[in-house]
Amino acid sequence: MSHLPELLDRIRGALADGERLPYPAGEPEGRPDLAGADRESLAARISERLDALRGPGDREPAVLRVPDAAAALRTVREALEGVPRAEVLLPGDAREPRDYRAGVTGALALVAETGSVLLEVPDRDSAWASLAVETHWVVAGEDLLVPDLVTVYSGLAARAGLAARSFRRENPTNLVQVTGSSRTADVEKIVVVPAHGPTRLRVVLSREPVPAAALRTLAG
Amino acid sequence: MTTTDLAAAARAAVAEPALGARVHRATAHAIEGRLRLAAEDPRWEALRERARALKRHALANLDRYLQEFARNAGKAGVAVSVARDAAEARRIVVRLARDAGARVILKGKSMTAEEVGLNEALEAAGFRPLETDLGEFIVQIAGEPPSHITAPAIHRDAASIAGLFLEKGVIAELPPALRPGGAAGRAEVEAAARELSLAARRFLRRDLLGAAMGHTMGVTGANFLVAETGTVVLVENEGNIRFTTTTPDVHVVLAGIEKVIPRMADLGVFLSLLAPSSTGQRQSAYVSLLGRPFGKRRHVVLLDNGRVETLRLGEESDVLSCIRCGACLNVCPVYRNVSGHAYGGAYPGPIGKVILPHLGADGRARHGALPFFSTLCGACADACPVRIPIPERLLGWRARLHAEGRTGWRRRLGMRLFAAAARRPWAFRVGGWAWRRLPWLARLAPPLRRWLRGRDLPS
Ligand code: SF4
Repeated sequence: MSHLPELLDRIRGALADGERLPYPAGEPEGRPDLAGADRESLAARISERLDALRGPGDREPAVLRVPDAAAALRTVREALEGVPRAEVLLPGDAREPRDYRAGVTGALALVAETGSVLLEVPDRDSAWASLAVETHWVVAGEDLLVPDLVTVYSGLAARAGLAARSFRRENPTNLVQVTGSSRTADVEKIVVVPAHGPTRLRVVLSREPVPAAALRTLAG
Repeated sequence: MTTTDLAAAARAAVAEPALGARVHRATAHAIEGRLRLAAEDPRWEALRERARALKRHALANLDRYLQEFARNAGKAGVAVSVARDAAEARRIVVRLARDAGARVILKGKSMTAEEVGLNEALEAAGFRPLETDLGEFIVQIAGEPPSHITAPAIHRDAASIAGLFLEKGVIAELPPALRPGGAAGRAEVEAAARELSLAARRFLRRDLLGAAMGHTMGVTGANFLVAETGTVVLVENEGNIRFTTTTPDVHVVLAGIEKVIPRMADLGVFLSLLAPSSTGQRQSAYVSLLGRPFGKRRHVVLLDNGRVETLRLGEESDVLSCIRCGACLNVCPVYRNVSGHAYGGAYPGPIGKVILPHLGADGRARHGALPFFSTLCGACADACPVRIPIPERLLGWRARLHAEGRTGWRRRLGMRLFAAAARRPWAFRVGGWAWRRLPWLARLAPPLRRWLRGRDLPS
């Protein structure tokens, strides 16, 4: 089997006569139309984007705006009323992989421009809530809104800087960026929802921050 | 593939009823989306420029970044190994499958797996590779290679997919619109597409969900490898890659060495370009950023297969910057008429023409005709989000292949005659006179007639 040191040596040999180009100067630009945008504009943008990503026939608003964490939890409870607890995945649940009616997660960031939600998925058990469900509910505060992808990944880079000191705790090592429902267009480019993941993505967006522990209270 | 084989494959594809129209329709959709999103993003050109600069920097410092990636992936508990060529890549993955005690291998769409012929090797070793992306699933059960980088079944219509699904037991009966005499308006075809897509979801469900109980292994490619954090990044719409990387105990990533990017911050630039260029979407549904293994093990296999040699070409090695978005295929007048199979390699379209001859020990011999299979119109370079100047790279290949004596006597004779005429004004005049009368002269010379069959002379 070939080994990394041998590969690196061959690469060094191939690059020997070439110029070692420096890392490009400057910072990548964020969306200028959203630079300095207030939370209200960012919230409006993410709502617009996520509404546009709903599957055919889905007419419910994709983003539900509420004043605070308590109202956010109330909204989710009401939406899940009548759904047996066994059919709902909440943060901290460790269940076998199968199809569930709903999953609830928090978020690390919400990207206004693309309608994306960045989630931490620390382990296999926590993956199903955003994957093997009909509806994926995200509960998050407006403090997590960022304008665009460039901004969110530059921010993550700053977080990763902490990794050297405490890789496992500070750096969320498995993340997923979710943008709308799962979809496919492999038959004649016709968009079909769902593909293998959720049919619906719903974001309950609270004006006040939502503490991560609050979501666990949904179980009670 | 020789020039003659290539021409024959192209002629057969052009003659296939409705193929060109189907591919035109499908690619038009992606082109329209890309142009719309690019026009509304004031930074679009700046992002392209930065993406190109980042990739060129990463390639010029590839040793450093691969080392950094391997170190950080190792810290997260991910094993990294190296495959020098396609055969070694196949051997490593087959061995990992044996070690995992796997029987079914979940596959996420991967052009690199296609490049090394992984499915065939897994099957020969007694495993059942199961493509989980709908397009890949369709071509797998049809026994065909994919015909587009991001839309593998672009060459098939709903009726042919339905026939295939019926034959392979994915559906029990044809959707109403696709039965003989069924109404086939757009609404009916849309309903049929939905029915077929959902049937594939049901068919694959047990394997996607059940894998965690057994010893199944998942194999994917990678869109990016982030050196700074050791993260494997995968982009998709269906959620099948999320299952493939999550449920099995062992996840194997097969990635070309050129997939490494320096920093997490760079990812924002590439993701801002990739989905708009590829499918005309603002973002794909899922981007997985994988560090710690979900199951017992994650194993990254870094593939060389000719890439290290390509680095020797200096600026021309920028063909390795490709992020496999497929935009150059969508806009290419050749691709849109002949579709992907005619190219005879894992990477069709403009990028295939400049990358395939670099790959494997016999890349030049197998794919040396491809760089001549182009009108050099430049549409690909205009579309490319990482600004690879593909027409210039095609010319580079033509010069290289000519210098290596791989261009065949007819082409060499033609070039020699042109060079001789270009140096002598009288000969150039005579040549010009003859050129203008080529259609008439062709009547006397059958080889000329054949050459002219697919060409229009400037009037
Ligand atoms: S060469 Fe450019 S346009 Fe073509 S697939 Fe690669 S990145 Fe996309």
